[in-house]
Amino acid sequence: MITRREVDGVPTLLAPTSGPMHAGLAFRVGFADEPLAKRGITHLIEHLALYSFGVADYHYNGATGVEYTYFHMRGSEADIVRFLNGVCASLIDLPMQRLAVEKEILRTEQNGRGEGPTDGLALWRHGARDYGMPSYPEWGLTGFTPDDLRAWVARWFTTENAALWIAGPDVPAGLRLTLPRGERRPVPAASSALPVRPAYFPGPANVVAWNTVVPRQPAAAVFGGVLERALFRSLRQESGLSSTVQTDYDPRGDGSAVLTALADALPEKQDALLGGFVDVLATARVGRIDPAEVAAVVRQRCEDLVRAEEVGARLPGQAFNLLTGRPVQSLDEVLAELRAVTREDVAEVGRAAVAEGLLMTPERTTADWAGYAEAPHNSPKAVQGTVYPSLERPDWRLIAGEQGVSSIDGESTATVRFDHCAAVLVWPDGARRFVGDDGIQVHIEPTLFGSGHAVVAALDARVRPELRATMPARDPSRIPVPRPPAAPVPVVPEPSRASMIVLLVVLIPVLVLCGGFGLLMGVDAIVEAEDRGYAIGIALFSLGLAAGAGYGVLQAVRRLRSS
Amino acid sequence: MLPRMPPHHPVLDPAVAYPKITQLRSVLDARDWPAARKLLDTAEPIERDCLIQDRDESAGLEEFLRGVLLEDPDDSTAGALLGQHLIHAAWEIRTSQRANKVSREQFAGFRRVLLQAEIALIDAAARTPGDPAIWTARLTTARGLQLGLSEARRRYDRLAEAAPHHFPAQRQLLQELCPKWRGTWEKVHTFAREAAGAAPPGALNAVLIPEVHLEHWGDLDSHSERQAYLRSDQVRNEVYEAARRSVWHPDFRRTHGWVSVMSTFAAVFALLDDMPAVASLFTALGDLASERPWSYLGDPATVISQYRARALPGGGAA
Repeated sequence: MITRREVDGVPTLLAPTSGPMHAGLAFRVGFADEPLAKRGITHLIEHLALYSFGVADYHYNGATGVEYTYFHMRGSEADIVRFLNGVCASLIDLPMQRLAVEKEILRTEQNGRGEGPTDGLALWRHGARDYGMPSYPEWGLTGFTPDDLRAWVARWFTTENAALWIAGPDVPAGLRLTLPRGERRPVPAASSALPVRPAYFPGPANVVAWNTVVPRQPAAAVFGGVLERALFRSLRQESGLSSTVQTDYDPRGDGSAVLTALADALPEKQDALLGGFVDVLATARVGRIDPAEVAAVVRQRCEDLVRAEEVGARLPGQAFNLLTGRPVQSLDEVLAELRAVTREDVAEVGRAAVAEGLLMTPERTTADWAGYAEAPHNSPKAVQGTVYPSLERPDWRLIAGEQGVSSIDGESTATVRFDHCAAVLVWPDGARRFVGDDGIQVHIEPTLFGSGHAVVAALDARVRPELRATMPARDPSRIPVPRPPAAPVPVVPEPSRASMIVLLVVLIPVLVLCGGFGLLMGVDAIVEAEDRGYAIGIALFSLGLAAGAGYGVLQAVRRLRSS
Repeated sequence: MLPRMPPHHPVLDPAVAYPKITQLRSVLDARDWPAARKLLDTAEPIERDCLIQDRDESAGLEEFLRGVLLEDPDDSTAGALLGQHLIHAAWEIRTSQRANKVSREQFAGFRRVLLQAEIALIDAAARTPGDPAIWTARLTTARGLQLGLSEARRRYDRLAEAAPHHFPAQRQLLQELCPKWRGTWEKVHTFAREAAGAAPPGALNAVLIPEVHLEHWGDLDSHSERQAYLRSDQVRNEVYEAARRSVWHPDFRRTHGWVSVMSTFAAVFALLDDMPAVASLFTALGDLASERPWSYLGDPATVISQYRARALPGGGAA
């Protein structure tokens, strides 16, 4: 049974638990709220707010997600009071002396994490804004100043934008949530980078991933479970292709939910993996849903929810509901909704889910053959402006104009318009990377273009300062130097095996005969005094011919061996 | 002087051997779907698949079949027919020339129409995964769209769950497993041996053995290599064993496909110069014959007539 309270103006959910007391303070802010140039700021604040507990022996943690950031802890009442009061105090007065070190820790964390198999989906679906942010590295880290962090806290980490949950008997005495005043911030509207759906893009090898956006409802969660079972049966049990098959259902604050599915395969089986995955999705598209599967998934989810309720694990989700203005639901309400889900409801979700789908195909494979449109990976046109040819390759050029910047490499054009620019990465050596709202990038190495540094200066002047993200200095060895365009190499036909063999047939007798004759004449010149000069001349001439033939034989044998 | 006329005119049209082909064409011409369904539903699975694969070029068939599917999207017979119809249309654009003789535009048109076939077939397979004719067609689209060997194998395995010895699909997979597509000789020989060995005695499937040997034979460069290949003990033994398991087996039935099966054995025995074996098969075939594999040796009618004259010196009237 969840009861509603209020602590220092922060709406609070309280529920009993069979385990130790557990409490969390959540804020309606996450990656999706970060502009690309500020990517990483929420996570950095979360780290700084927890710094003071670094050595304490508490079961505490913080988490920064797509829409929410929260601090939670398990322990005694006194521990929880100390922890949450401390988090609030830290947020108001962040330990700025730790800024440089925490930035370094986050950079290391990011490098260690590497790229997850489904990371690309957010970027290709939404571009370089709002819900596309989870795909991007924390590019803002280097440039954040104490003022940037204070302004972010003042905007997002406020009483009005917070919710508290407590799994325990009551609100602990002494709990003080002293936070700045502000306002409740709604989730951002989701952008789309996919003009046509269903769509596909090529991802890493040996894995197929897929996601979709559907209305948030119990039937959608059930469909996620049914899909996972179908993928598991087809790809693992029947075809023996995959060792990992997984789906996730992530409700979003705007009333939608993201369904993600993933399966892997061995390199020699990735074509079959794609084919099998496409067929499972097609089964959902035509609405073939087995009622027994629906019943099994509903049963499983109900059991999970009952268990979660016992230990207060449903509370964080309900606190997030508070933050996005959704009703807080009792267990019975949730169970009743789930049990009311019919096969037809799930089939309906399945049809809509596949129609909105984005498929990540393994490596260079495509999915146009299955009716998926290719997701845009370059720009329809270049901007008007001054053309700067590459110092390296004749088919590569940069165009800098009033409206934006384009890079044309062969037949592929990338354009970032200044009025649709998400961020400009700025390296101290002059390199720049323009990232468009649609996720398309133009990277400029000024050393590789004529008047490169002047172009960069001109482009800098056109970009709003808040879009600049400072990058750490690069090792000088990583700054490219132009290689002069290679002069056309004259084509020398490689001699064939047959001609090498003919050469050997001719040269070996020459070697033997001239060599032998030369040696004979040499001996003759030594023992016979008569015509010595003449004999020496013939001997030298013959030996010279033999040496030439010997060299030819050696070369021919070497060629034959290497061919 | 006039050139000597061939003494015999083999009948190469499959519609003569299998009258249901003509019946199906005429009910489809009349747009009589219930009659088409009745004919196909009462056919044996292999016969049904072969009838569905028959090249029906009548104009407007695509629209008709799409109309049937609009009425009943779960009609997998209509789905398979539509798929095969579009596959034929696609290959019509590509032609059967070697890839280097096919123009860019032809390839683009081929791919475009084959995509339509595949998308119709994905839908049909999702609705009726147990219909072997759908998967046979999807083996052809997988090959044309170059979806990869492991995907072709997956499709065959899905089919084999429902129909373990489905001969038309085995012939399709056999092509894919050949080196000229994406396979290796080792893979295709192994598959032929396994499929032939697993099929019941007297079934058509054992013809996969001489079929692969003919493919392999045709791929060798010189006449002497070809002779040596076919006349090796292993190949000879395998072919005779395959004949004993099928065309020479007491349970061999003249079901749909028997003419091409007998013709394939006859062609291999002809290359092995076993004229009594050739004669027995020609006698059983009567006037009937199939274009493949005789087309590998030249103009089928001419080649057949020449071998008939050698194998059946009496003129070979059956």
